[in-house]
Parts: sequence; structure tokens; C-alpha cells
Amino acid sequence: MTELGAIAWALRRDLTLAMRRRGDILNVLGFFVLACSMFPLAIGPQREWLQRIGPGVIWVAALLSVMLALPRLFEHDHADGTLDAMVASGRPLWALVAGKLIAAWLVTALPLLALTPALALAFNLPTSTLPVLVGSLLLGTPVLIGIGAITSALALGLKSGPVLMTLLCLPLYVPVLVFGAGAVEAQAAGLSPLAHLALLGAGMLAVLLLAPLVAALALRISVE
Amino acid sequence: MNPFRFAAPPVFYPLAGRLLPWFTAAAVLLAVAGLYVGFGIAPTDFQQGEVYRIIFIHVPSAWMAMFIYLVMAGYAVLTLVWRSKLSAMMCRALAPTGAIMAVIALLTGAIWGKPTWGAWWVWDARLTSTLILLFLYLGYMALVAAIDDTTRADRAGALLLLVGVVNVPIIYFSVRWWNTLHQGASVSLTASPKMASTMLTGMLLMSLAAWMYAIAAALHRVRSIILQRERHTRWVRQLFA
Amino acid sequence: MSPAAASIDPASFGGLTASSLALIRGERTLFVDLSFSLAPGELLRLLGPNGSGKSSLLRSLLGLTPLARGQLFAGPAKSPVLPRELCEQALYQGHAHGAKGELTAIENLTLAATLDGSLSADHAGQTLEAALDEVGLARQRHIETRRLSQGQKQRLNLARFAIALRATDRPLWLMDEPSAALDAGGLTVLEALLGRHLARGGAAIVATHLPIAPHQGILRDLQLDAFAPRRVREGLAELAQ
Repeated sequence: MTELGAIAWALRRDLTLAMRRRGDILNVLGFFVLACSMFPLAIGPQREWLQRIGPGVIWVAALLSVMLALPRLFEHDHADGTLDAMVASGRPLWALVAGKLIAAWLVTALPLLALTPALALAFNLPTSTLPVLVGSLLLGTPVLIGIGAITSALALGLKSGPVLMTLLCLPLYVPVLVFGAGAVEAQAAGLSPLAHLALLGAGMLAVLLLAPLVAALALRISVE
Repeated sequence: MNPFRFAAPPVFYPLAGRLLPWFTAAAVLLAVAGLYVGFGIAPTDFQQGEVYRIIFIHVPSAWMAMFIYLVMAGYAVLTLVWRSKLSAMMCRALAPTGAIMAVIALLTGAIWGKPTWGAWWVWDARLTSTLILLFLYLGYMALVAAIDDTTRADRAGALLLLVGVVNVPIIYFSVRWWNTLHQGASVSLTASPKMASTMLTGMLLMSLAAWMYAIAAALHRVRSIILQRERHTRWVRQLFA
Repeated sequence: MSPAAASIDPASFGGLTASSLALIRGERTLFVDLSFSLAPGELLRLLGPNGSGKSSLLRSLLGLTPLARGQLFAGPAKSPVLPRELCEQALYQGHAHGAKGELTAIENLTLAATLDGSLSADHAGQTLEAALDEVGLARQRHIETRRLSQGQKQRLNLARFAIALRATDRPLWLMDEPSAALDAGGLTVLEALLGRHLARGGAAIVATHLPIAPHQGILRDLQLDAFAPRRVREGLAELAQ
């Protein structure tokens, strides 16, 4: 099995599994919308305020939604022994992980991206910022998934796993949040978001290359 | 003389015990000297009055919090690449000290901030980065504590440290960017006027004192960790026979 | 009618030799100085009480758990081989069932056999049906695996090995308690599969409580608790360095 074959195997498998558990996607979307809704409920619906905090709120909510979906990435496989089978198969583990990460992005981040314009409307964001908002999420969500994969692999199988994983994950998420939300704020202020987006793009490339390898190493450590 | 001999716990344990008093003494002496210079000799600051003297504690502790993390990352490389048990133990020994340094930096930063800028916390770039560094420490300590299998805990912690150390400059850079964007002119706690040489001397002495203290604390802690891990071996039993 | 088994070329698989293996899990030394050799056509039964390290030994041969000491040799030239390299020649069934509950039996089998590389694109459907038929799950092939009984899930694992009989690139079978939850009929299927595998030149290491005795092949036993260190905690001192 070639590397590409391994990626395809894992991708097809995880997508099939996600289709059998369609409820999970609804959970992620539901959380996203609810988290965003908390803010107007908490601080009042004044249009100017919502417009000001909108990009940040949507980014934080998207970040948390992605993060909450990540423990699922390896826990089920670890529990039913399929993770051991993958490690013992002799196939390149980084490729299998890469396939899983791509599937996770398709199943978790893509629906969020689809819902973002509606939420941008709810926060009264100017239409000029919408492409930047979606673009920054497009570049940033793979980084979130990559970093989250590493931390959830490290916390695999532990009793406090999901909670511990968030403690490990959130400090590492800070740059992504700063550049992502910052891009939208820059656009809203009339400045160019290109620098932010470029940094996000660079981060995404780095994660695409490194996250599967590092996550595979973390899995081997955890499976010991 | 094979240096790797010292990496064996039965050899390192007594060695650490012999070094410990020296580092403790050095830490105490340097701290006394540094505090004397900082609180006694250095002149009153023209703008900030006496309050600025807190930098003699704040800056060294912030530096040490960062430095200890780097040292831990170095030990993490040894743990992962050479499966060195002692390196893993040193990581665990250093972590609490690093976290304490970060907390001291944050607290002294707040104490400085209140009279100077009017608020206990101003989301200054350096303080925010230090806060995130504290969470990196806490995350490492939580992960290592949550894993029962010591080998897995050592290696998982080491990998986490390496991922963290790569991210630290990125985090620092991003927080600085965020801070300057949103607050314009720097509300930075490092924006102190040109320092008199005595002030620099004071900070240097306190930094060295903090360094000696960190080494002493780590040596002391690693001795406990060694005893706990090797409690079933013959050499430990003979120690307490 | 069982599908024909492909013979394993003795020039490509010369058996496995393990020399002085030692394994530490956490702070317990499981076994020390364990050696065995396995030739084509032989079945090695791992025996020993719970906790003697049968599962750990199997996992260590594949690099899932690191060996503290020891060397592995494989191939016709008995060249040294790393556990991770052994993975490509081995088919491993661990303690857990290794199947996704949400997928049907045939879907799980397809996934496993594809990952193993024993499923060719042409006749894939026939191969799968035949394998499920052979292990007695023909009527359950479209049922979700979580609705199968423990014994049926175990039979699904056997189907994977049935398919592997047609391939030649995984001559070493490692099974951890394959007879668990199997009834008499299932045990017969297991022994038949092992027998055909051994007859075609393959080898197998099976951790088991029950006396599995295929009709073909040479049967050897390895008592794991014979290799436990005399004083369990004592081995740690020498091995940990």
C-alpha cells in the first residue's frame, strides 16, 4: 500500500464512519451556533457592539467547536483496538493519520464554514469582511485540527482525557486566533488583512507537513 | 572518565546531594546582594518612584520562567532521542520551579502595574505571553500527572515540551503583534527609562540568584524523584538499611 | 469449499529468532533473557498466568511496546530485524476485537483486509463472501458489528486470517487469545485456519489459555513465567541503565 493509498484508506474509512454517526455533525454545528448566541444574550443586542465583537466571537466559537470534536479522532479507535491494528499494520502511520485529519476537517470544519455567513449576518458584519472571515477560517481550521490531533494523541485513553486535551491545546491555539480574528478586524478597519492571512497560510502549510508526523509519534508513545 | 556515567541514577543521586548546598548558598548570597543593590543602593526612579524596584524581582523571574522552559525542552530532546530516564526526571523536577517563576512574574507585574498604569492587569504583550507560558507549564505537569505508566508519561511530556517550545516564539510574536495593533503605543512594562548601571547590576545579581535557586530546587526535587522511582532497587534499599 | 492457500516461499521467510528479550512495563519487569526460535511451519503457543506478559511479548515483537533488551532475527539469512520492520510481515490480532461497531461485518472485513494488503481488486467481493462463509458468518455479513455476539466478533477476526491465506506477504501470524469467546465450532475453524497456514510454510505465535492444536504443523510451547525475574523488582536496576 502506498502512502497515498494509506491516506485514501483512512479518509474513506473515517468519512464512512462519520456518515453513520450523523448526529455528531449536528452537535458541532449546534454548539457553534449556541456559543455565538451566548454573546448577544450576555451583553445585549446593540448592533454596533455586535459588529465590533462579531469576528472575535465567531472565531472563538469556531475554535471551540473544532476543539470539542477532536477527542473523537482517536479515542474510539483506541477503545476498540483498531488503532493498534493500524499501528501494527506496518503501513506509514503518518499517512493513516493524515487521512483521518482530512476527514475530520471535512466533517467538522466544512459545515462550520458553511454556517459562517449566516452568523456573520447575525452579528451585522459588513459584507466586505465576509470573504476574509471565511478565508481566515479556511486557513486556520486545518491548523486547529493539526495541533488538536497532537494533543489528543498525547492524552489518549486517559480518564481526564478530553478536559486535559483542552488545557494542552488552547495555549497553542493563541497564535491562530490572533492572526485569524486579527485578519477580519484589519479588514473591518480598512487595513489590509494580507499579512495575517499570509501568516495563517504559512501555519497551515507547516501543519500539513508536520502534524501527521508528530501526531503519529504521539500515538506511538500513547499506545506503548 | 565517561560523562554518561553520571546519567545513571545511583551515581547522580549522591552527586546532586553534594552539589545542593553549594547552589543553595550561592542563591542566598546572590539574592542578598541583589536585593541590597535593588532596594538599598539603586537610585529612586524619576518617573515611577519607589514602586519600580519591583522589577528586580519581576524581570529575573520572567527571564527564568522562559529559560527553564528552554532547559526542559533540551532535556526533552534527550528523553525522546536517547530514552534517558534521568533527563525525564530533570524535566519533572524543573517544571514546578518554572511555573512558580511564571507566577511570581505575573504577580509582580500586577503589583507594578497598579500604581504605574492604574490597573492590576493591562494585557501587556509580555505579561500575556508569560501567562500563556504558565499554562504551558501547567499543561505539562497535568499531562505527566495524569499518565500512570512512567515511560509513557516521560515521553508524552517530552513531546509536549518540544511542541510547546517550537510554539513559544510564535506565541510571543503573535501576542506582541496583537498588543501593538490594539493598543497602539506600547503600554509595556519594559518601557522603563534608561537604566542606571546600578539598576542593571541589581537585575543581574537577582537573575543569577534565581538561576542558582532554580538549579538547587531542581537538584533537590530530582533526588526525591529518583528515590521514588528506584525505591525497589538494591542501591536504594542499602541507602536506608 | 475452502479457497486455495498460497504457499509461502521459504526463500523469503526463514522464520523468526528472538534472543535475550527483556521487557519492562511501568516499574515491573515482565520477563528477562527470553529466547525462542520459530521456523516455517511451526506454531509457538505462549502459555502463562495472567500478567505474565503474553500480550506484551506479542506487542513488543511489533514495536507497539518497546523492548528493554534483546534482538530479533528474521528472514532466510537470519539478519537482525527491528520490531517495526517485522510489522510488514506479520498479521496481528490483539486483545480487543479491532472492528468498528457502526460498520457491518463485511465492511469491517473489507477495511481490515485492504489494510493488510491481502485483498486484490479483482474478485474482492467473492473473496470476502467466501471468507465469511468459511468462518460461519455468511448470514451476518450485512449486520452492524456492534449487534454481533462476542463469539461472532471473534469469528470476524478469523475471517481476516482466512483471506490472508491467499496472500504471501504476511507469513507470521501473531494472535492474542484468539479462542476467547469461541464455541467448539469456532475453535475448529481457528485450528483449521492455523493448520492450513502452517502447511503452506507460515508460522504463528499464539497467546492462549486453551490447548489449540491444529492438525498440521509442529506445535511448540513457551512458558512465559519461566522467564520472570527471580525477584520481580530486582531486574529493574540492571535493565534501567
